[in-house]
Amino acid sequence: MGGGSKPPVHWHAIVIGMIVGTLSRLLTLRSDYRQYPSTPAGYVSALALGLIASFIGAEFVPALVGKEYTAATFLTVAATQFRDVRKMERETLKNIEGSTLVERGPGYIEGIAKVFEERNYLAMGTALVGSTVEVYFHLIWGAIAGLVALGALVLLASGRRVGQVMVARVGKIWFKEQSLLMVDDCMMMEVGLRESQEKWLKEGVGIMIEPRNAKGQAVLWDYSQRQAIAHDVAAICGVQTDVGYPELTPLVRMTMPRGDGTAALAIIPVQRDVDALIHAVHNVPVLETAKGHPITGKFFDRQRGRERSGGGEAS
Amino acid sequence: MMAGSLTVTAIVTSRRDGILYGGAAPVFYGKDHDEVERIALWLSRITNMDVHDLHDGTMFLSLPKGSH
Repeated sequence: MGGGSKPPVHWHAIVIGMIVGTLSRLLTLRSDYRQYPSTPAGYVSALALGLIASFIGAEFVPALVGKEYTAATFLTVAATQFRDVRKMERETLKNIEGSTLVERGPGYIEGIAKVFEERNYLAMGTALVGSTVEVYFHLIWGAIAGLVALGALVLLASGRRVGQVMVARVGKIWFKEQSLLMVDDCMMMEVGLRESQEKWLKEGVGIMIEPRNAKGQAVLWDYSQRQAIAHDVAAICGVQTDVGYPELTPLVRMTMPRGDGTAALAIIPVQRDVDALIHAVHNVPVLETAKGHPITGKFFDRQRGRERSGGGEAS
Repeated sequence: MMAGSLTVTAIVTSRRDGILYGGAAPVFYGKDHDEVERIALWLSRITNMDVHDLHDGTMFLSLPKGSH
């Protein structure tokens, strides 16, 4: 870009933008309990895309200032490439789903894939802010603005956790009519084999998940959300199950027919640490698919007389 | 994936008189509850299916949630 009689190129802006942008991708590259990505190959591909994203963000304003409209237009075209990131992540997770003992569920996969895509836009946005401020103000201000934008975007982009709308507590595992597995008054499933019933009674842990408010009431009606809870808790606390033992698979079910948004989790963890289990449940992200449920909307006020639901949830 | 799509894939029973032919699932006969449970356990471990007890001498196997 630049050259000839055109205005000088804002190299500093591009460099600063790329640095803060890549930094933002690096900071959001957490290898947490989801265990994904956790290999050098995963890091490299995520970082490479993050670098490209921040370059796009960093270049945009300098290109416009330099009257390089063709370049700026091309950058918007390049930005659409990041839509493929979501597709790629979705494919990967779907492929390994078949060999996962406790599945993530389609809603969770969508959520993770979306976050991967979004983190690149985050890097792009941070780079854009950093380089724009640098172009119009100064190097230091550009760096500071980039870091502030980084912090703000990370805060804004972090979603809610189950613990913010639900509260988990220990429930008692027992069998109703000999073979119906129960956690307190929530029926989980029919376990026909005596051997498995004894295993549940001896080593199983029941967790009741109760809504804190109207929004919490809606969340667990989403089947994917419950599957995500089962998956995450199993991933964190371990689970004693295998192929050939389907009745030992952890599961989350609603308390029916009461239907007040209370659910129960039944799991046979590797280590019987109830506090860790409760913490794990609280830490599960609230999925986007679970958010926009009509019962928290203004059209369907289930809470009349108890508490107002506070209108619809934007998602 | 979703509940509601469970299929009965095998039936184990000690009630020979109660067997009706024409169903889609194979029927295994055990002479008492212990044998019914033993057969169901083996079938479950071999085929990775859920075992359910009807408490009338009959147990049946179905595909677990998430496997179809």
